[in-house]
Amino acid sequence: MIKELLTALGRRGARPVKVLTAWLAVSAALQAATFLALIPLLQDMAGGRSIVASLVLFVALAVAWLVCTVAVQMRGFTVGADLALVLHERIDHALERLPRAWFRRGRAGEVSQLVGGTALSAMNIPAHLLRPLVNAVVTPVLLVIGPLVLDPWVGLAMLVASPLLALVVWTTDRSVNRADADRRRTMTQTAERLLEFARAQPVLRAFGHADQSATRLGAVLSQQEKAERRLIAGTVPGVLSYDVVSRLLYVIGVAVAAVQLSQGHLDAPEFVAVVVIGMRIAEAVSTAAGLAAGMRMNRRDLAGLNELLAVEPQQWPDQPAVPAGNAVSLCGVGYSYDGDHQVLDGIDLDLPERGLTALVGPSGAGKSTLAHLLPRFLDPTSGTVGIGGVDVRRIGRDDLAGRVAVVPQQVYLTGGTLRDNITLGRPGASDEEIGRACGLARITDLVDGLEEGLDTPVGTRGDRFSGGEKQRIALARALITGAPIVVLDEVTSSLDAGNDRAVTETLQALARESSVLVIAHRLADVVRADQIVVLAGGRIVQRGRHEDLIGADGVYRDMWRAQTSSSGWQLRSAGASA
Amino acid sequence: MNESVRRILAPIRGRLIGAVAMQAVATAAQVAGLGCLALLAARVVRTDRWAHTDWGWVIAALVLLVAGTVVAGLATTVSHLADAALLRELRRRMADRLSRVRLGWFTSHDTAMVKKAVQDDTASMHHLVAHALLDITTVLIAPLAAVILIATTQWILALVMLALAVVAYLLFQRAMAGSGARMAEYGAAVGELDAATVEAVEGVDVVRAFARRDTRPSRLRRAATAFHDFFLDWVGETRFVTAVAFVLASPVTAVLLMVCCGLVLIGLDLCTPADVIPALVLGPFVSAPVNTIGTRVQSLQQGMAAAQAIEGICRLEVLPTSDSPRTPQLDGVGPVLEARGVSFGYQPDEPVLHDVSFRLMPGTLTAVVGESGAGKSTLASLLARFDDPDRGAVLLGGVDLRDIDPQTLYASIGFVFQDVVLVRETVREVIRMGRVGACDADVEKAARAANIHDRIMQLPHGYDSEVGRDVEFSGGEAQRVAIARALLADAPVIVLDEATAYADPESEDRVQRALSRLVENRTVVVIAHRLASVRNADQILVLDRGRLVQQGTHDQLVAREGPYRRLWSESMVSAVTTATPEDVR
Repeated sequence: MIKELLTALGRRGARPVKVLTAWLAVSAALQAATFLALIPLLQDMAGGRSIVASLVLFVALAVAWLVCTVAVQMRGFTVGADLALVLHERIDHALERLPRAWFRRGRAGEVSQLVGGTALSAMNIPAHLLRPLVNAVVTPVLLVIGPLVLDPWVGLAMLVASPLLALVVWTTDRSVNRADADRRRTMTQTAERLLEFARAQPVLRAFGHADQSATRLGAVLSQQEKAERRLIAGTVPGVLSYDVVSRLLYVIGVAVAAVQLSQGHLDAPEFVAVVVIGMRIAEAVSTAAGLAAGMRMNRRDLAGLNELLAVEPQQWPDQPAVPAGNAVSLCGVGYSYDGDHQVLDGIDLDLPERGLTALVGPSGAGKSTLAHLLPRFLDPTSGTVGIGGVDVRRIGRDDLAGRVAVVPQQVYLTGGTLRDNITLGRPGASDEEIGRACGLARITDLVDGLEEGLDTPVGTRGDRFSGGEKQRIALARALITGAPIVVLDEVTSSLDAGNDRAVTETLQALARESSVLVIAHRLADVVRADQIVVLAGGRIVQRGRHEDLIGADGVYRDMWRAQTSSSGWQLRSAGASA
Repeated sequence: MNESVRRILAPIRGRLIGAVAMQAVATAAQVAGLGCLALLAARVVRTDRWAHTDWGWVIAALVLLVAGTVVAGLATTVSHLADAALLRELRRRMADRLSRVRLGWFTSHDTAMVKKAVQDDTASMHHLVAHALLDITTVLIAPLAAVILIATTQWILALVMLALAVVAYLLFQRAMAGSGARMAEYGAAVGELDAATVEAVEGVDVVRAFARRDTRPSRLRRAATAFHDFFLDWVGETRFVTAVAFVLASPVTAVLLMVCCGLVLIGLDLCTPADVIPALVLGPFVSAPVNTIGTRVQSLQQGMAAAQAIEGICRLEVLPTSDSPRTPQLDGVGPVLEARGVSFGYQPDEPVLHDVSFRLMPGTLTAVVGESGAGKSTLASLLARFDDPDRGAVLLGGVDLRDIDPQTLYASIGFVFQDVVLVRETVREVIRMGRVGACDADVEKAARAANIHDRIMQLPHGYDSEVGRDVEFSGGEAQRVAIARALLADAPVIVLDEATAYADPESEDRVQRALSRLVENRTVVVIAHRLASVRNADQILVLDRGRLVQQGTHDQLVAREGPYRRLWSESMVSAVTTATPEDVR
């Protein structure tokens, strides 16, 4: 656990934890010394000598321990809070640099778990886990000096025991670990089945199998119970053995001391010292056993965090080059997610500084992948993407973000107000600028219709706006930046007829002063594009203007025909078809 | 313990009481075993020699420790077995409830609640039943046993130890006192961390394309700093008291106190040095548990909250079923489906449908149209009895849906929904859900008719490919799978929610041809999103803000001033901007 924690914290973040650990060791040593100081005290008492010196020593050590421990405990809390901050910052830092391809579905849940679960649990490590852990190691090791000095045999009896104890710890830890992992896995599977059962209720019921599937679910549930029963056999001995072994060793130590006592090698006060100190050794060891579960959990979670931190980040230049102009040029660009299947292959494409380029093609042709290369959401696996004659990989991060504005297919509204969302790429934009962008994106009516206007909170994930509204808000967000290159992925897919036409007009106007790249699935929206690029199977198969393409045999004409015929399609009633 | 915990634990109550009792005995035995050695040490000091009978103490210690451990093992086993049985029972009850709850509940509630109940809450219950109850028993019994053992030789020292434990406990309580109010703030700070994280991940494109790192730190970083400041502020108030309480409950303090008090008592001639020894050995057992009681109580409380949440799922309101179901008359003469004065709302004060009435005659095609939010999908869900109307009734073959056996109902009505929820199963089984026992040839026939067979054959394992693992269907493909399923079910009535946006043009064409096959020779209700595709419907129902405002054929409706004509002309505008094929050919 400690190793995983220190890795997660990085060299700088780990320092306070190391310092705290050292202080905890001091506190544990003082504790051991205090208990050892009982030996002279007991001897002085039994011998009828003055106890002042030994009592002063004992009390002084106890007070030193007390002061040190209060200070260390208090420090533990702040170190815990700092540690969470370091972990959060490192996660944030990683998220900003992770390759875009890393962000698959389900990642949000994973990272939330790391931020809200792992990092927050780790706060407890300095305050609650580290101390007993250090105690369990330092205190017994120092305390065993007592019995060793009093009578080597008693000390040895306790020492011989430690390898045995280590063996028990090691084997039980392994079996408990395995059982624990098994339980978690089956519990997760069962939970997923149950959740799926809930989510699929409409379909299950509509086809009359709510019960049918409940019995299939029933089988899964029975399996789970059986698995749990099996696991108990693996868990129970582990939980108990640690405790009992440490205490049995104590009894054995005392028994050896009793033998020595009966043979006159040990006197009564020394025997008492063995009983008192031996108990402290046994207890320090067995409290550590109670920590095993918490440590396992933290170790597993922190390992997950380290996996995230270890992902190779996207590289940005230290000394960025500044492009001359904003003409985009793709040369021999290829892209593959797995190194096997080429999503894009040998793409050569130029986008002039002004003009509307439409990217069309069947789904899976690589349109979005291609669009993602411009803002460097992805980097090509072969070939180069250049802006103004400079490879995008050599352009500074903020410079590139300022040059390329993107309206993604899945519009995402961030928390905060509508204004925050629109001015995201241009903080502090004036109301006039916002108004102009809203007009171009056709959301003026929408904004005016809201009671709080631009200051309306968008709600979690923008739930209060429809898909088409969100698309237009995202368009306003892109337009207000005044970026010379604008990439739009299926922006009109959820728009109704009137807005679709208006947005198309806006894009055409925009193309008179900027370079606009649109991905479109409705071919009707792009008939007036300056250049239409047809992608199929990751290659450019056709390019030209609508009038040229429609006249030639090829993918474009087939798509056009399929779309125009489907727009005339009608459902007919049984009566009509009969 | 609160009521819901009592009710939920009722089936395993006996076993739990048994486990707790065993754990109490085991703990007492273990402390007594250690106590034997302490008493032995006291005896040795008192007599200053070793007698052979003293071995009895050592043996007693050994026996008590081993026996205690065995009994504790039994207690743990019993509690785990009880836990396994309880969890199976609870999961069954949740599944049963979920299969009978109003389906509207799923639309108006996030499945997050179900998710929390089946994952996190059952885990907390496991912890409560299998671990927390026994842990609490140990934490309470061990000090008690230790105090009694100390008191057998020196009752004053026993009282002093007890007082120390109480003072440490009260200090902990004081440190925790303000935490109730702070917990809300803590929750808010964690909530913002979570929201910021989700935004950073899900909104990665937006953040990367627009957020300016040079001007402002990321939202996650701001949330982390705010959380850190809040937390430091919070622990700043309590950390001194907590640290002092911790130190008071530690073994060193117990031993220090026993040495000092013992010396005083010896000085006052109230006891002998031998009498102090049991207190030196056992004293720490009285106060040390105070340090862990906080986390034990916390997990107990978590378990109780979890029990309440699980019970909430187990008590969800279900759709009533009739005790004497009636059979709908689908004779091809009377109306197949009929709505009579149907009103409905998900929330009592927000009606979605007002007094809607219409009839569907056999073999006809009815289209429901209207702007988004007009109540079209809600109407479809009432026809499927996902919910019951607040007022009025839906009748199939002249019988109120509430009086029809669900099996009969769903054998009569087939559905193709807008969201196609596919269960994690093989493609074959997903289609076969339409008709249990259908042979593979029938499944394939339905798939061919739905234009999805070829796509399925391209999958790594064909029909045996698992949905979600071997294949993620696109929107248009998933819809064709749903059509295949409905074709296999072959119900005489079809409720069809036409999808708004098709995934891609090719798929759109195939979906349409599949739909044409599905509606042949059936009574069909289609929730239409494109007016042009339902122009030939026998009957068009126009919904406007939950009311049925117009009804008739396309030709009748366009001839009149009204909402339909407005919708139609809007759709025509887009058709005009879309160059027609003739323009370019």
